[in-house]
Amino acid sequence: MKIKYFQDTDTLYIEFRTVDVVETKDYDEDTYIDLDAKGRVCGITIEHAKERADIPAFSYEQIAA
Amino acid sequence: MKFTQYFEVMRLRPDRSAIEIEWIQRVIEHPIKEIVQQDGRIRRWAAIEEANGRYLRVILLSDGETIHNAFFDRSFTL
Repeated sequence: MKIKYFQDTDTLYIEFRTVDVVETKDYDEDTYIDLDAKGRVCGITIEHAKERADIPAFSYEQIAA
Repeated sequence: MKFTQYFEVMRLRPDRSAIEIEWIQRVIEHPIKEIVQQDGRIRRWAAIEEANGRYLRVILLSDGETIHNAFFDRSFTL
């Protein structure tokens, strides 16, 4: 998974898997969802990320099985 | 022609690299539909014959000239 944050437009892009995107849909005006050939979500774009995704604060935690 | 950082990165992706800049320019200049978003950004659409008539959506920043996003919009309706 890769996360990219674009400061100039306050845009957050989360790529779940590096696969070919075949379609981009909008969930709402500020949220775009990328789908692969099987309709699986493989990426999400979030606009105005500072207010919507608490950027730049970020943490990752793996919960042990 | 001005581009956002997001556009510059996304255009390298295979699904976006097939989109010609000339097509984007065509959408900007001759849209069949335009919507101004709540944040002032501008959405424009036009059909691209060279892409089997699919509708290309272009999103401009509120300055009306900086290109921020462009993708084929399968769910487009007039």
